[in-house]
Amino acid sequence: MDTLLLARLQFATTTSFHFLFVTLSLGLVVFVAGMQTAYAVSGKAVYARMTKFWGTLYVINYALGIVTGLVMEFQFGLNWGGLSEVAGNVFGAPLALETLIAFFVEATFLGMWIFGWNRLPKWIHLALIWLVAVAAYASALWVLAANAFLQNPVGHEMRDGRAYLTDFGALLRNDSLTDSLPHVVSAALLAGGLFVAGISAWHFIRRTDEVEVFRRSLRWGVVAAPVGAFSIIHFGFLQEVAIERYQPMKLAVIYQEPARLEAARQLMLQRFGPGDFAPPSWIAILYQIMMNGAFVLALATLACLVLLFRNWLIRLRVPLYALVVMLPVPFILMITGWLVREVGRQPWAVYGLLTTEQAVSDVPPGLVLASYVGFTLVLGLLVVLDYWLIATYARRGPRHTLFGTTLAEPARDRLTAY
Amino acid sequence: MDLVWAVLLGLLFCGYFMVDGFDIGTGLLLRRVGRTEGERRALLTAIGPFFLGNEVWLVAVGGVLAGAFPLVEDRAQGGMYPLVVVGLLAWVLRDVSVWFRSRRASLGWRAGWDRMLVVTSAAFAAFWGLFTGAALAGLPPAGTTAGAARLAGPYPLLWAVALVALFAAHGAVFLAARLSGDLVKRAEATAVRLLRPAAGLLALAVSAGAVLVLPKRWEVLLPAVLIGGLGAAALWAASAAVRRGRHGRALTLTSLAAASPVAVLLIRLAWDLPDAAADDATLSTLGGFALVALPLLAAAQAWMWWAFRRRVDAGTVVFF
Repeated sequence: MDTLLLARLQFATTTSFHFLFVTLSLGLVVFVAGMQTAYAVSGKAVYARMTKFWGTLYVINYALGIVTGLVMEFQFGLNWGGLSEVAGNVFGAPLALETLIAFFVEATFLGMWIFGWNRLPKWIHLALIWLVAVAAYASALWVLAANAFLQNPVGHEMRDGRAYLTDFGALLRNDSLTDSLPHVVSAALLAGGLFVAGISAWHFIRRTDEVEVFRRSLRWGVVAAPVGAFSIIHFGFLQEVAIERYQPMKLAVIYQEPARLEAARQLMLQRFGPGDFAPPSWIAILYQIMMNGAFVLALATLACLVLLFRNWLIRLRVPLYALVVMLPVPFILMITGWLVREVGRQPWAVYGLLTTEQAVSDVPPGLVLASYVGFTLVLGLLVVLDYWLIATYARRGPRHTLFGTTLAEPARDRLTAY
Repeated sequence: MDLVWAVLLGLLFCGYFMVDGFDIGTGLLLRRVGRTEGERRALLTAIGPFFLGNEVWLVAVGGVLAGAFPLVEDRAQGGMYPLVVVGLLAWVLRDVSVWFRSRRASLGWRAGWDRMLVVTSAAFAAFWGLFTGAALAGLPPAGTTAGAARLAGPYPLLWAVALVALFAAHGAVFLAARLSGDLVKRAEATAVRLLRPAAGLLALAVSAGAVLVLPKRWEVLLPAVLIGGLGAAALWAASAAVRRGRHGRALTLTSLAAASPVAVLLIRLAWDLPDAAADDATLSTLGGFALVALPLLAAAQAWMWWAFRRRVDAGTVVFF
C-alpha cells in the first residue's frame, strides 16, 4: 500500500465518522432549541421534559463529534503537507475562521448550557442553546466553504506555484457552496427529524406511558422530515449545474453515459493535456443509492406526515415500525453523498490545481498505516460505545435525565419530578 | 501583520496551557485527591463547566496555524508525525473518559474510565513535554520524520517529567480554589507537595535547554531563561500562597507558570515564524474577522468564568 492511498483512506474514515455525529448534532440542536423555546414561552412541563430527553441524546452524540473533529483538523498537517504548501493561503482561511468564529463559541456556550440547568436565568439559558445552534451552522458554513474551494477553487491567483487569496467574498459566493450548504443542512434536518420520530415511534410500539412527550416529539419529527427530504432532493439536483460547469468528468462518471463520458474526456484533454482525469466509476453506484434512497425517504416521510391526521400514524402501528426502520437511513445516504462529492473530485485535491498525489505529505507508508490503524481502531470503538450509550438513554425514556442533577444526590442519575 | 498574528498565536497557545493545564492536572490527580465516587464526581464537576471552553483554545491554535502559518502547521505536525499521532490519541481518549465515565451507574465502568483518564492525562501532559523539548531544538523540516529521532534523548524526557509535574501542581491549586470542605485540604496538601518539585524541574529543563539545545544568541537565551526562571519562581511562590490559604493568588501564579513553557518555545521559534506566515492578503482578511471576533470570544470566556465562579458544593449541578 502506498502513502497516498493510506492517507486518503484515513481521511475518508475519520471524516465519515465525524459526519455521522455532526449531522445528527446539527439536526438535533434545532429540535432541542425549539423545544426549550416552547417551554420558555408556554411554561408547559412537557416541553421541559422533551428538551431534557432529546438534549441528553444530543450531548452524548456531541462528544464523538468533537473528538473525531479534532483528529480531522490535525490530519491536514499530518498527511496533507502539499495542500498547505500550495493552497494554504486560501484554504486555511475558512478553516481558521471556523475555529475562531464558530467552534470556539459553540463549545464555550454548550458547556455553560449543560452546567447552567436550574442555575442560570431561564431566558439566558434558552439564549445559550440558540447561540450553540447558530454557531454550529456557522461552523458548517465555513467548513463547506473550505471544501467548496477544493471542488472549485475561486478567489485566488497563482504565483510561482502557490495560490494567493485575491477575493475572500468569492469563497462564500462559490457556486460549489451555494447549493451544497442547503443540501447538507437539509440532510441534517432529515436525520434529526427521523431520529426524533424513530425513537418516539419505538416508544409507542413498546406502549410507553410517556404518551404526551412522545406524541409531541413524534409530531415534530414527522413534520420536519419531509421538509428536509424534499429540500435535499431540490438542492441535490441544483448542484448538478455547478458540477457540470466545473467538474464535467465527475458528472459524466456519475451518469455513466458513453457520449457524456467521451465529451468530458475531450474536455479534460484540452484543459489538462493527456492523462487520466476520471474518478473511479463506483461512485455511480453510490450516487444511485443516495438518489433513490432520498426519493424513497421523501415519499415515505410524506406519507407519515399525512397519517398524522387523526393520529393514524400511531393507531395503524405499521407506520411506527417503518419510522424505526428509517432512522439509520439518512446517515447511510449522507455518507454515500460525501463519497460521491469527495471521491468524485479524484484525482484532484484542489480541482485543476493540485492532485492528491502532489498534496500528500512525504511520510513513509508504514507510519501512515500505523496511524490509520490506531485512529480507526480507537475511533471505531468509541463510535460503537457512543451509539450504545445513545441507545441506552433513548430506551430509558424521559424519566432519566442528565441535566440539573446536583452533587448531593446519589451518583445515579436522578428521576425527575416533572 | 505577521507580528500581530504571531502574538495572537502566542496568546492562544499560552492561554491553552493555562486553562487546559488544570484540566489535565485534575485528570492526573483524579484518583489521588478524589477517594470516593462522590469525591471524584466533585473533581470532575470542578472542571466541568470549563472543560469544553478550555480545549477549544487548542483547536483555535490549530485554526490560526492553518490560516496564518500554514507552513508551520506542516512542519510542527508532519515533522513529528508519530508523536503528534500519539498525542492526538491521548487527547481523544482523555476527552471521552470525561464524557463517558458518568453515563452509566456501574461502579466498574466508572472506575475503568477513571483509570483511563489518569493514564491519558499523564500521557497528554508528557506529550506536551516531549513536543516542547523536541521543538526547542527547532522545527524539523516538513515531510520528514527527523523530529521523531530527537524524542529519544534525555532532554525531551526531562521536559515530559517537568510538564507532568507542572500540570499536576496547577490542577491541584485549581482544585483547592474550586472545591469545598475536606477536598480543599487534600488538594492543598497535594499542591504543596507538588509545587516546589515542579518549580525545580521547570528551572532544570529551561537551564538544560539553554546549555544544550537553544541557539547561542543572547536575544534567544536571555528572554528564554528569564521567562523560564519567572515560571519556576511563580510555582515556588504559589506554594507559599497555598500554605496561607490564598487560593486565587496561587492559581494566578500557577497559570503564569503553566504558560511559561509555551512562551519559551515561541521565543525560540519566532526566528522561523515570519517565513512561514501566510500571504498579507490572507492575513488582513482574517484580521478583519479577528478584530470583531476576539473581543466577543474574550467576553464569552469571561462570562463563563463569572457564571461558574462559585465553589463546588452539594448544590452544584453535575454532568461529567
